[in-house]
Parts: sequence; C-alpha cells; structure tokens
Amino acid sequence: MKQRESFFHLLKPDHLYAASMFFAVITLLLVSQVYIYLYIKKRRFRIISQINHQINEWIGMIISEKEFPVIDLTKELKLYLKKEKNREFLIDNLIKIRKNLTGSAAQSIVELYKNLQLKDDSIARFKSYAWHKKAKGIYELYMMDQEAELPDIYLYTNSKNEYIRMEAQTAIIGFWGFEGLTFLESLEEPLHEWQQLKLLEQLSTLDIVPLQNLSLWLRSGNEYVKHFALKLTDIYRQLDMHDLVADCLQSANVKIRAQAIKSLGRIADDSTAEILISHYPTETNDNKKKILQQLATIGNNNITSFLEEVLKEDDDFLKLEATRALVAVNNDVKILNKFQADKTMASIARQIQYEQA
Amino acid sequence: MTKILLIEDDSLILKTLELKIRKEGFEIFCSADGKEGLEKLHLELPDVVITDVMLPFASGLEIVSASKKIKEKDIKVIVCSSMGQEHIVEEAFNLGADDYITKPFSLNELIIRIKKQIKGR
Amino acid sequence: MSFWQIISNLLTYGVFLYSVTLLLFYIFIGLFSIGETRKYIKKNILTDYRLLASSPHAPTVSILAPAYNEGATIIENVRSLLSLYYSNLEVVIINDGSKDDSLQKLIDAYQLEKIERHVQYIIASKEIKGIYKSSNPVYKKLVVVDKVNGGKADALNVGINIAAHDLIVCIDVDCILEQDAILKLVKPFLEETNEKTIASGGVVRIANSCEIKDGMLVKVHLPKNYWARMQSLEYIRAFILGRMAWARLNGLLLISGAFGAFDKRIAIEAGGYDHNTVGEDMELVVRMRRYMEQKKIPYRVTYVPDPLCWTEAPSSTKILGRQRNRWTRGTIETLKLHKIMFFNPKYRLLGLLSYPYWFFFEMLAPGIEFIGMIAFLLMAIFNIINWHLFLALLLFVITFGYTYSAFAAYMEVTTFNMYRRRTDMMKLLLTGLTEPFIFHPFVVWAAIKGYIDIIRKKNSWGEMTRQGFNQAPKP
Repeated sequence: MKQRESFFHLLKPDHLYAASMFFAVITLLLVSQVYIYLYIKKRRFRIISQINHQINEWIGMIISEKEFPVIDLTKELKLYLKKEKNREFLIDNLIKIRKNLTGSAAQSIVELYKNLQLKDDSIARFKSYAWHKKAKGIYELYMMDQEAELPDIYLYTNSKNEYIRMEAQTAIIGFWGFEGLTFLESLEEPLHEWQQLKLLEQLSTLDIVPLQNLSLWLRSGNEYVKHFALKLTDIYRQLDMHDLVADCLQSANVKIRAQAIKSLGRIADDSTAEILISHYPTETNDNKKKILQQLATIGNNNITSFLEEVLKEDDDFLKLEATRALVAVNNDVKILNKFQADKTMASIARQIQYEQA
Repeated sequence: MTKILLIEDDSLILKTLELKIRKEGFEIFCSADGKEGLEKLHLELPDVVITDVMLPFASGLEIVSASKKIKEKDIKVIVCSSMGQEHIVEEAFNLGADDYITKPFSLNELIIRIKKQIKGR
Repeated sequence: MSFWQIISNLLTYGVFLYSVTLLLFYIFIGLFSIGETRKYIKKNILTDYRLLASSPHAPTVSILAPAYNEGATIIENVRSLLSLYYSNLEVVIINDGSKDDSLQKLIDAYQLEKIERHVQYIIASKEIKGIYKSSNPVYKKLVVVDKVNGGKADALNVGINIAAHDLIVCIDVDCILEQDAILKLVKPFLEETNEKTIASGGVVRIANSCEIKDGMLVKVHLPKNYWARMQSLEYIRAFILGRMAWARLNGLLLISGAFGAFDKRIAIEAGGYDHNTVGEDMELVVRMRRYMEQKKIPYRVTYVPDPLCWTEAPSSTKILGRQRNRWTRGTIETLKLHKIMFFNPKYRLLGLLSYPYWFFFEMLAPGIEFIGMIAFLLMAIFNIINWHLFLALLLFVITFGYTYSAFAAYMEVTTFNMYRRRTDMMKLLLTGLTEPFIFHPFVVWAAIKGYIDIIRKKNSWGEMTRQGFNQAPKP
C-alpha cells in the first residue's frame, strides 16, 4: 500500500476534480463565446445589408450621371460608419466595382471614396505595423488611384513580408506600368511564382514599352528575378536577349533552365536548335521533353538524326515528343509508317496520326 | 422591347450592369450562375446574352454554345472576360460568340456593343 | 501487495501518464493551430484567386477521379467537376471496371469518342481498355479512361500514368467541390521558395443533409443523423486543429484521399500508390516524404484549411464500423511499411515526432483504451477498484474532451463558420456531450476489429454503400 499512498500524495482525486471544474468552466466560456460571436454576426448582417443598400443607391446615381457625388447618409448609417470595420466593408465593395469598370463610373467611385474620407482609413492601415493591415492599406490606396502615396509605397517593394512586398510591387506596376519594374533591380527577397503570375497578368493589360533593363534582370543575382525576366523575354519576344537566355541554361536551378528552354524557342535564331541539342544530354527528363517540344517548332530536317537518336531513350514521353518533332521538322506524317515494327513506337505513331487527323 | 440576359456571378457587378442596361431602355433578365442562366435563356429567349466566362454550375462557354443552338431566334452573345483570358475568348468565338468585352470596361462601351449587336441582327 | 494490486497500480499510473502526454499534445495542437489559421484567413483577404483561374501562366492540373459503379450520380458529378474555376485543367475520370452502365452514360452525356493515346505504364497498373474524349469543345477538359478493375489505388495509378499535367489532384468522384477548390489547393505550389511543395491537402467536410442540386452544394446543413453529426464535429476538430498544427510544423502525414494535390513527378519517383494497403492515401504521403528525406531535398507538405470538399459520411453503424476498421488497418500497414523511420533521427521531425505520434496516439490509442476498459471490468468484478480515483480520472478526461471540442467549435465559428444557424451549433455541441459514451466507444470497438482483421490478414475493402446525394432535404 505504500506505493499507492505515495502516488496519491502527488495526485489526489481532489486535484482531478479541480482540474475537471476548470475545464468545465473553460468549456462554458467557449460555448458562450460561440454564441456571442454568432449574435454579433447576425447583427452585422443587418448593418451590411444597409450599407449595401446605400451602395446600390450610389450606383444608381453614378449611372444616371447626375450631379455627383451626393452624400446624404441616414442617421443610422452615419452611426454604423463610425466603426472602422464597417467602413472597411464599404471600401472593399467600392474597390470591387472599381476593379470591373473604367471610364467615368470608375472616376465617380474614386470621388466617392475621397469624399467619404475613406482615404484616411487606408492611410492608417498603410501606416500600421501589422503586416496584413499594411498590405491591405497599400492595396486600397492603389485601387483608388492615390498616386500621391507612391513614393512611400515604393519603399516596401523589397519588404521582408511577402504580402506587403507583393502589394507594393503591384501598386508600382499599376501606376507606372512596365517602367515600374525597376524595383526588380534592388529586389533581394523572393519573387515566387504566384507573385510573378500576378505581375504578368497585370502587365498583360498594358501596351509594351522597350524593356531597357531586361539584360540586367537576366543577369540578376536573385534567381527569382532571373526566372521572371526569362518569362518576360518569352512573352514579349525579346529577340536581342538570345545569348543571355542561352547562358541561363547553365543555371543550377531546374526551373530557370526550363524557362530558358521555352524562352529560347520563342526567340530562336539559326543557332538555337544546335544550342538546345548540345545542352540536351545534361538535362532532367522533364526539361528534355521541353527541349524536344521547342525543337519541333524551330528545327528543320537537319536535326532528324538527333531525334532518331532520342528514340532510343527509355522514357516513352521523350520518344513521343521526339516522334512528334520528327513529323514536324520533316513536315510529313508518312515518316510514321516506318515505326510499325516496334510495339511502343507503333502505339506512339497511332497517337500522333490520330492527333494530326 | 429588346430583351437582354445578363449572367454574372458577382452580385454587386450584376446590379451595376443591370441598372445601367435598364436605364438604356432594355428589358433585362439577370442570373448569378450558369445553371440558372441556361434556364432563363430557354425561358425568355433574349435578343442579346451578356455572359461572364467563369460562372458557378456551368461555364460561360456552355452559355455560348446553348445560345447558338437555339433555332427559334438569332441570339447574339457578348462574352465578358477578365484580363489574360484571351485563349478562352478564342474558344468562345469558335463556339459562335459575337463579341467580347474585357474587364475592366466602361459602362458606355458595353451599351455601344449591345446596340451594335442589336443593329446587326 | 498482491499481484492484482500491482496490476491495478500499473494501470492507474500507465493510463495516467499516457493521458497526460496525449493531453499535452492536444493542448499544444490547439494552441499551435490558432496562429496559423488566423494567418491563413488574413492572407485570403489579400488574395485574388480568380487570377489563377484564367491565367495562361497558371500551372497545369489534372484531376484524377476513380469511379466504381457510380452510374447513379456520375453524370452530374462530372458536370460539377467540369465547371470548377480553373482553365489549365484536365478532368480524368477513371472507370475502374464498373459493372454498371457508368461508361455508356458518360459516352452518351458528353459525346465521347475513343481516342488513340500511347500510355506508358510508368507505375505498374492494370490494363487500360480505352481512352475517351468529347467531340464537343465545351467538354474538352474531360478525359475518360476505361480500365480493368483493380481497386482505388490501381485506378489512381492509371490516372497518374495518363495525366498530361504537372500537378495531380486526387479526389473521390462523388465528392462535391467548391467552385474555387482547385485554385486554393494549387496556390501553395506557386508559393514555394527554397522548399519544394510536394503535396497540398484539403479539408473534407460532411455533406449529409446538405442541400445538393445537380452535383453542387446549395446550402450547408448540420447532418440530421446522429452518427453523421458526430462525424461533423470530429472532422472539424481534426481539420481545424489537428491538421493545421501538423502542417505548421511541416509534419503532416495524412492527406485525405478524398481531396489532395500532389506534384506528379515526385509522386511517380516515389512509386505511386501502393495497392497492397487499404490506407493508400496516407501511405503515399509518407512515402513521398520519406523519398524527399532520403534525397535530402528541402520540401513541404502544405494544407489549406478552407472547407473546399464535401462528402457523404457513413450514417449507419455498419458502414461507419467498416470505415474505421479500414482506417485502422491502413494506419497499421502504413506505419509497418515505414517502421525504419520510428525515432530515427535521420528522418528529422518526420521520424522523431510525426511517426511516433501516429504510432502511440493514433495506432495504439484504441488498443490501450480497450485494454483499459477490460481491466476496469475485471477490477470491478474483483472489487479492487479505487472508485474515488477512477471517477475523478474519468471526469477529468471527459471534461477535457469537451473543452477540446468546444474550442474546435469556437475556432470554426470565428473562422469559416459553415453552420450559421444557432440551433445547428447547439445541436452540434449537445451531440458532442454524448461522444464519450456512445460514439467514441463505438469507434474504439471498430478499430479493435481492425486489429483483429489485420492479425487474420484480412485485406478486403470495406464496401462503402453510399446513399447518393438525392436524399438532401427538399427546400
């Protein structure tokens, strides 16, 4: 019994009861929190529908192109808009309309934003130390054309926080277009693919201007910048960059090499096919496949022997791409007829025949 | 009166466009999703359909395809796309779309395009 | 001191120690998940996912959906998959030798015609009978593969062999996905910096009693059935707290087979799905992680806490029992296959924390509880129980469980808040009160049956007879 007594010395049932009580109280607190939250949410729903109603009225005014903006808020709405959260909801909705429209309607929305003094909110968020507020502030200022804040925003294009950085970069491009890309030169932080995609989508709506510093970006010490520059070379067919792009094939980063292969295909000259062929043996299978795809579009029948060599590879994907390229560079589907003996090759040939038909 | 069917999934944008189109004196039907859009298409047989590309339940391409299959009426379709969706617009044209407009657009531009389609019928 | 007293003491101490460790883990998981969930929500506000939906620069994605005798719902399920927001998408339906008319239905509904495509069986799998594509350009995303029956893992391997794109999203064909499910699941792959994202897991929620129309979720309701409702709470706990915390640690071992995305190349290099286990979803993640550890390539397995995938949960004890039996066998088989990682420092966090946690608190837990119950009965019979201590312990464990559930409910309400009606929340919480007395013992019993089956080497698939989504309440 001695052992048991010593155990109880440490752990008396009373302790457990006390702990149970503690947990029970916590549980009750959490449950009441759940209900308080649901109640607040329900009340907010009413407020939100009122704000929405007001927005719809404003839209009506904007469309009828009356004297605008007329801000005549009800007492209730005034009270609601004293709360920052409700004003943020209003801003979010104005941005949504602004995003989809151009022309006078969009201008009216910006006017409305200014007249309601919502800019103060955006500035306050921008000055905040919390990353998500700061990023949101930048977003609002940019969506509402507040160009005056641009110099301050520019400072954040190399922020340590990816979201602040991303919004700042978007804002700069938004105002300056392609010229805004200068931030790439001082960028030390990553520019991951999501950011790249966001910037490319944004740029796609603008008219291209000469990319003065593209060669700098292609030589950047920041791998992400290099990757992004390769994409720009590809999309905007920057033929002058051929040699710099070819240098990128030596990169240790597989993504950079993959994009370099693709870009080379887009800006190919007489030397490109040979460069790709000599690079071929050192590549991963995925990139080999990409090389073959590019060769299919840029090669001529001089590379037939190389492609036939590829048919000896183990990977069927490479065989398939090589066969496709063979048909393309010789511009002749009949070339497939000679592959009937080998089972795999015959199957590949059937697929290509089907695709061509 | 010229009937217009508008399909767009964002309620705020839908409302904005609806008000504008109605003000121009057209009869307008709205739908916030592709499925309902298809139903209204067959029910109302509009003269012009304006549809977003990406919609819940059925895509804008299905709307284009269905509109062009309707024999009773020559329904004109304007596809509304966001930036960077050129490839989808191309598909829409292959399916018979008559015009497209890229977001963001001005309300007046939309009206001009609608009127152009009505004239072309 | 008698023999029985020693046993009794050992048990009291042992169970107590085990519970304390488990409890500490739970507290840690609960607290550790908060920050990560909040951060995700903040990020979401700043993200325009639609950008990804239509961008030509978005990664290409193949959805792999194995189907076996799903004829009743296949047409609308495929339809809803085809209307997902994502333009660089291929939807691969793998008909795993269905005995019903699924294939013919698909051919008729989507104007399919057989195409010629060369298939390399990079991962060994059963034979493909035919590949079909639609002649209607509206359905050009659709690929249907007809193959010889070989089970779910085999069907998924065929899918991997066929998939034309770089990322694969594996789903159950009867799952209902939110429109932006793919966008959200794929984004982590674009955010990788120096750690490669190899897999991204999604949340699965219970669709029973929800309003569903044409394969689309119209309105969320709390399940009316007790067992399904209990699982709703269980899933909220697991997905909002458990997975989130493990993902933050980068120690996630399981991505639900119903909804997860993988880097195709890594999945192939790791060897694809293992068709010798009933827990193929967990096994693949563990193997992919192990592969990356062995190659010493920095990597991440990420997790997206948005409720994006809805599935019908078993609502009868018979089917629920079979499911839990299978889960237990899956866990045991997976852990056994990869036992080399157990407390192996070479596998870092994976070997030192994730694996042992699964071993002690997922795999052994039902066994330990079961032994505890037996011992309790024996001691009660021989009347050597210290009732006072026993009751105190029991009360302690139960109240702690309630706190944990209430915390999960609180996190759910303040984040994604899928059950908006106050009565729904009340029902969910009240149902939670019965858990320690009804649901939990049942689940433990089902797991014990899993132990028994594994000892008997029974490898059969628990057949999941689904009721179909047509049982949603009429509006």
